[in-house]
Amino acid sequence: MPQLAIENVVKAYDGKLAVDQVSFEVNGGEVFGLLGPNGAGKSTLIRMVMDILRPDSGRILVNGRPSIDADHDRVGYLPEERGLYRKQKVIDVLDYFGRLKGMTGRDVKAKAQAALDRVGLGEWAKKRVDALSKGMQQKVQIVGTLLHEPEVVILDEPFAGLDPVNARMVKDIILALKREGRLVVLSTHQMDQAEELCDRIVMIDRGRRVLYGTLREIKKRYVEELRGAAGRDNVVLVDGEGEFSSLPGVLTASSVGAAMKLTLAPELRPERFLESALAAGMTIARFEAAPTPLEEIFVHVVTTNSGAAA
Amino acid sequence: MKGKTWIVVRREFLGTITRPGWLIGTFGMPIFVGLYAGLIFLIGSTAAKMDKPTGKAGVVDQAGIVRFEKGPVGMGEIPPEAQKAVNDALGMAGSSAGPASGVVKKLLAGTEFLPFPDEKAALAALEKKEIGAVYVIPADYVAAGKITAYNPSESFLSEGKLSQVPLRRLLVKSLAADRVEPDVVARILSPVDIKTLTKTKDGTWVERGLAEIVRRIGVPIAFTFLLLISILTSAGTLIQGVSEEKENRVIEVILSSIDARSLLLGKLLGLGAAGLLQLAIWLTMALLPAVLLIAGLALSPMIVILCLAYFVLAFLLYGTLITGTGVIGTNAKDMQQYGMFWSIGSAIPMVFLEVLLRDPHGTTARILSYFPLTSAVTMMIRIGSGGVSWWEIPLTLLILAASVWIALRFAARIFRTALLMYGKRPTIVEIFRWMRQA
Repeated sequence: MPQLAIENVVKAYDGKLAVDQVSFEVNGGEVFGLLGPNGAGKSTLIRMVMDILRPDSGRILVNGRPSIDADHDRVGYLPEERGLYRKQKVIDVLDYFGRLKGMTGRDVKAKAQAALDRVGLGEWAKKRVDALSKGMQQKVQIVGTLLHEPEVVILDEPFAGLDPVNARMVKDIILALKREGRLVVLSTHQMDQAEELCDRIVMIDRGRRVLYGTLREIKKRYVEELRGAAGRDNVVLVDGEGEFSSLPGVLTASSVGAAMKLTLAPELRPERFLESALAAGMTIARFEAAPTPLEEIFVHVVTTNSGAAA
Repeated sequence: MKGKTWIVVRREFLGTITRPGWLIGTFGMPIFVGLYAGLIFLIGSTAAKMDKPTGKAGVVDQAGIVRFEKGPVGMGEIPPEAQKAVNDALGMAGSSAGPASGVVKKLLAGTEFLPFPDEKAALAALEKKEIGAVYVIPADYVAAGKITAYNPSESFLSEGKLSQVPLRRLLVKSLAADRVEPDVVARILSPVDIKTLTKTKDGTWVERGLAEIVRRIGVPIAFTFLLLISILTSAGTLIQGVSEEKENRVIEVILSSIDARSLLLGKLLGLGAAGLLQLAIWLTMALLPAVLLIAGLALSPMIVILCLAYFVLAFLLYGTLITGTGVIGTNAKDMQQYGMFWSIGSAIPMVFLEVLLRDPHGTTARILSYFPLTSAVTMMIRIGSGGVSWWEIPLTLLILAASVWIALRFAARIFRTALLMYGKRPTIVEIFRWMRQA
């Protein structure tokens, strides 16, 4: 039985569908990506899961039954639009958040200080929130989300506004939660983060589900659609010295960091291309089949959808 | 009530009563009023020392008509009940009123008029402060009616001003002496002592004293005033808090842990409790006058309990409506403006005060009693007047409680949706749609 099941959920604002017949299931112990462009309906969907908004139709099931108030205490939610009580002490804000999640005052006191210590904010517990930097405040928000040790963690755009150091910290936290067997729903439009962290994803565009499955399944399904009948082998990454784009059989070339991404003609096998490059006196440090980034799939799906809608 | 509501109540209550603004308002207001009163007494005392009343005035009677009396001639026109109230008040104030109370007592006690042979002698006595004023009655007084007064002070409370009332009485008595019967003179000086009888609900006629009039009018006015103050201050604080939560983007985290109705109720109860505590502190700081007032007006404990019940329900109703409407605003200023529209409702019965006092059980009174926004104040006016049917009290309390429940349901729906909208002002159609949504 899935820990969280969304069944044909519909939500409209002013007659305009924000979420349209979306269904998916999420299991414990996985990081599940809820992906989509801005305004796709991700936050609306999450708000319905959190019972902040009610669906117009469809069902949201927790462990096979409609959610009840007590279920919310087992969920940690970091919304996209997030903030803190700026004029209060950090520890007081965490105390309020913790109590609202069913913790006792003593429990909050014990766990909040330890959690703040872990993210390097132990000494800031009794300082006012407005004395903290933006990055520090985001750490406090994450502490507040996880303080009550939730079984399900829903993170809506958790990397927004974070510097690389703090983004790394959030990634580590997500991976740690996964190791502990918790269910993490990660809503983001940053495909590289999703690719790095998620086991399965659902992609929503214009309120509708457009992709759903494991990353492996999705990439396999889209690679041919994106790269033609020759498949993924026809796109290679080459790092070295030489005018690779001038070689026969190279259809397109683009830079990817220090390397070149080349699309080869369908009849040109990659090993033949490698032989001709070496024969032409070019030096090659790295040569590999180019992976299909999720971002490419994302852009393809969204633009195809947009074209269909137009 | 849910445990989470209590968490919100506790937080709002403690958060409010530890706020500097609340502490200054609660403890600073009585101190400020005390200092203000002290300053008035200080000025009064100083003035009293500088301009100490003698209780005497000199009369130069060139017309030869004045029949001087031994002892002071009273003020006469002040009703005995009011005179007693002033004396009681001065007695209660005791030594704290200082010499000022002595001045007022002496001025109200009347004036002793002393004859002087000429202006020079009278003015000399005035200069020595043996007398507070001099009146010269010319020879043609009876024909012309003119008198000259010498008054060294320009104060409206000077002997030269206040002794004019006893002088009139002295002149009436003097002119009427030997011409009119003494009891007729007494009637001329005090033509009426009206005893007013009013008809009660059961058809009997009863006398209404000053205390009853104060109870009928003063208690509802005080109730309305306190309700309005509480609504304006507490709902203002509530809206400010909610707008901060909206602007700080913290509201979504809160709404993911507690439903909107419980959150709204918790906030209202927390702030309401802080408001009641503030009133209790003010009353405690002025405990003696408050107890004396309640005892003096013969307010029964039941009226005090009912007052509290109507107060709490009316506060919750207005607080809910103000917050439910206020959240539609996109910022704190908008929120205050939208929400405070409702507070006018609590003052509506005061517009109909005359009608309600004239006919406390008529159609207007009943309509206003059963209309939730005006119910509390109207019922306080009617209960003060007496004769309200017993069933009307639980019925109106029930209407108010049901209104609070319904208002909470709809306000929570608006509250939940509006709080998640940032920077967009909803249309009326949208608001009604939110209210319909489950």
